[in-house]
Amino acid sequence: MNEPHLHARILSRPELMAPIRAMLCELASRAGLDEAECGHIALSIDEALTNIIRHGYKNDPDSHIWISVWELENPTGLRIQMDDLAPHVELEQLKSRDLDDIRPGGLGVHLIHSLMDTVHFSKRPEGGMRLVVEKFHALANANTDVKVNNIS
Amino acid sequence: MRTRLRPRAVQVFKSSTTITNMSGATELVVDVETLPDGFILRPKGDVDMARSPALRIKLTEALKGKPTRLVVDLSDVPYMDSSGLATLIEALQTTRKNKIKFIVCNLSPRVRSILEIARLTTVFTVVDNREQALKA
Repeated sequence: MNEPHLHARILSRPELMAPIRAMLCELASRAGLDEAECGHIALSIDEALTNIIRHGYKNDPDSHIWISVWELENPTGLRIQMDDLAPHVELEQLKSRDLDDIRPGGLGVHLIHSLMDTVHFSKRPEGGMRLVVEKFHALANANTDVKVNNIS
Repeated sequence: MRTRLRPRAVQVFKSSTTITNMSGATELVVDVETLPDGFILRPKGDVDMARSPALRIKLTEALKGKPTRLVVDLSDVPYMDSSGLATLIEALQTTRKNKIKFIVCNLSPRVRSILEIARLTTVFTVVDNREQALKA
């Protein structure tokens, strides 16, 4: 995979979520995604960060999260990768709760799957978990090959 | 006459300078309005993981007053994530247990869409505005 257009390391602090949302919205907009799609990306990344901070790092504010972003073309879109060093989680556990079971929590994974076009969780061999999500512009020319574009 | 510009002072961080924890994110402000039969809570700002605890505190305080009606006016909430939804669901469960009317009103399209995706629009009593909330 090509070098990401953006690679950042943040601390696992909830107060950093708003600036990360804003930054990803701006990148998505520059990549050609519309306002609703930018909102979907922001919410999905917010949910992923919440899961890492709350469940992965048990609210430890000084752990690390790495965010990498690629602009895509054919079709136009954004790929975002989030890495952490939290304990491994069995992939079958990373699913939404039954939506008819009304209770607080357990909606994050459902929202991510509902809002993004591709979602892939994996265990990092070096430790920690990886989430890679992609969002494509709905009106973009849907060619089969996804290329990584240059952000200018 | 030429004016001699004074060199700009170079800012030097003193040894006492500390790096903040970037907790400068503003706290969520929640206006509370008293009704004859309860309360209207009006949070102002994004309700996410960092800010939903402030809403939870205000909801808990309001519920301690044993109202018959509790309205959450979301007209000043442009963004909400699942932490915000969880906070509302907690309040909903308490109100159901105590037979309190719990009404959510003035949802922005973005907040409404997250409720729809989570299939919660029929679980909450959602109305368009305050007038409807007071009659619901």
